[in-house]
Amino acid sequence: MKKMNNYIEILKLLFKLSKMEIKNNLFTIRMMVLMPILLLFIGGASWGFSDQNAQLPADVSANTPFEVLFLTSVFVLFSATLGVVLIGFDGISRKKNSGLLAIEFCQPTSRTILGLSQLFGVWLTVALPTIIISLFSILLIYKQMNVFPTIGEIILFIFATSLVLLWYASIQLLVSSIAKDVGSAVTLGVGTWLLFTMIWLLITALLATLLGVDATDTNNSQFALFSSKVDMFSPNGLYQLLLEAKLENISRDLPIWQLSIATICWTFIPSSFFIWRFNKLAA
Amino acid sequence: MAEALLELKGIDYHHKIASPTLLKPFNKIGGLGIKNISLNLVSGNIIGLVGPNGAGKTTLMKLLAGLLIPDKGKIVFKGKELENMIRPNWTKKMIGMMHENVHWYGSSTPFKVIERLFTIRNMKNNKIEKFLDFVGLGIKAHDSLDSLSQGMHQRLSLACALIGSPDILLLDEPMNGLDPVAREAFAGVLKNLAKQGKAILISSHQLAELERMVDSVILMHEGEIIEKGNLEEIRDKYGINNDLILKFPTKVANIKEIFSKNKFENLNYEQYKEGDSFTIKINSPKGGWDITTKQEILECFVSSKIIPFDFRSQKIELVEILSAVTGLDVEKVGMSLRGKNG
Repeated sequence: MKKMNNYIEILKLLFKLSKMEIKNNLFTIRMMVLMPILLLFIGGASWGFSDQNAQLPADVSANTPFEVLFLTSVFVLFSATLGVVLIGFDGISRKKNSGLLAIEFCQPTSRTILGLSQLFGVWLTVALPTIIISLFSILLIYKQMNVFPTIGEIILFIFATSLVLLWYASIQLLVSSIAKDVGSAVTLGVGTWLLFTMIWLLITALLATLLGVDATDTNNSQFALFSSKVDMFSPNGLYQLLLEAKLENISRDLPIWQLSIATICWTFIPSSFFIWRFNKLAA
Repeated sequence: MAEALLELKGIDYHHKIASPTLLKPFNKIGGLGIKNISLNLVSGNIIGLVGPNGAGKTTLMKLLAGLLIPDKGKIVFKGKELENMIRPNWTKKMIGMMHENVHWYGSSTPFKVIERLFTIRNMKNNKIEKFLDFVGLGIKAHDSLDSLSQGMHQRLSLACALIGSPDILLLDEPMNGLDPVAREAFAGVLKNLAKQGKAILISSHQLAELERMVDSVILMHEGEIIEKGNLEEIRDKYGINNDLILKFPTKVANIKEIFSKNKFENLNYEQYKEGDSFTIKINSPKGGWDITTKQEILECFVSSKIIPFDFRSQKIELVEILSAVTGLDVEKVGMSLRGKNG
């Protein structure tokens, strides 16, 4: 019973600290910059893609509400994940360089709780507005198409979006704990975002060529299967793979157990690594 | 006898420095640090930790605060030896550390900073205002950190150390940025805290500013404690005492006569021109000055109608004490200090 009460106390403390972190992050200039971007990117994309008169490229279909959400997810990757970078790139390094981290480390509270509150703070600061805007986008889709996505589709979209932001928050805080100054924090933060958002396809193509998979035609099934496997090593790729699971016209033949393992790994490995590093950090 | 709150016995710590090799890219080796440190922090005592930059003062304080774990030695809290020197939370509750050079900036406020630390410690937030009043930040509680002066920032750092009313206070260069009035007030606060039974360790590279505040001093040099005890005792032990300085607008011609008339013929002195005035420097006798002697010296000039416009004891600089304790000449110690500073 005493142990149980201890756990409840720890959870309460974690909740309080995370709430404080979110509150601090929400009312910053960074968030003021981010909010219109999120609104325009996510809201605008779902409005545009759900417009039946919109002329989309031939290979892009947006006939169902979930297909619209799937296309919108690309804009989530460009805006919300960048938001996590904006909020989290100096989450640890700033505190460390200012001396605040040393003050917090002197307090009689476990570093794991402090680290987790930092992680939840960065994650939820971006995830909460993104989820709210996503729900608002669903209303926009309904307005345009007169039909809602199914509950399952909505849950999958929100769940996958929240997860990808958590993965990014873990990566950002991890690299922030490595960064020695603001310059290296920016470089590492933006660098990891660029790697997964812009350069990943190039890496996939390079690996495919090295391993003898035809990368000149990205539509061939051999390359599609290969790229889906490589995508599991990228948060963006895995996010898209999770959403694709609900799409009927896209199938990359990836077993569900592999997707599940990749999701679990991405959820727990970077965050655990960050907490481990946070515990070892010299203030 | 006052209670020993914390004892360090034979503590060694070396900073880890990256030394990558082909096979071990993340290899680290032990660099500078502190060696064979033993000390006791006793309830109600104020100890000054003195040494040049790079002497290991901050490293020692971080070790005491639990931010670093020693490589070797023993740590005893209230008579209880810590296993593997790992710090449980109850030991952290006993210690408050005021860190050197905390950069308080941004739109946050002292209230928010303290609120977060109260929350981390699971303390009730309704006493924050009162707490900030205690350190003189009450009226600035809701001002942004950017708008606070350096002195206010120092007060905020002190407030962070005082949260939870710890038994041991570690103050790392707390006087930086404080004006003389604030320094006086700060010294008063420390004395009050010591009266309440707190053990206080206060570091500085300026001996003079600690002199009036501390009960004893620990001298550190190159990671080692080279001397500890009462400052007067250390001065006596090494024969370093503060000279007496008298300044006059014109040259004093008959010093010898004045001194011998007042039975001070044994005093060693020299007179030299300094700018537009003349200075008489009287070397301190063995055992140091007592107030009566100083008063009598002043009176013997005044009774001869030679009035000095300045009369004071010359401060002994850290470099001189270090030179006496280490046996190195002043210039060599000075060079090593300059090397560390620069």
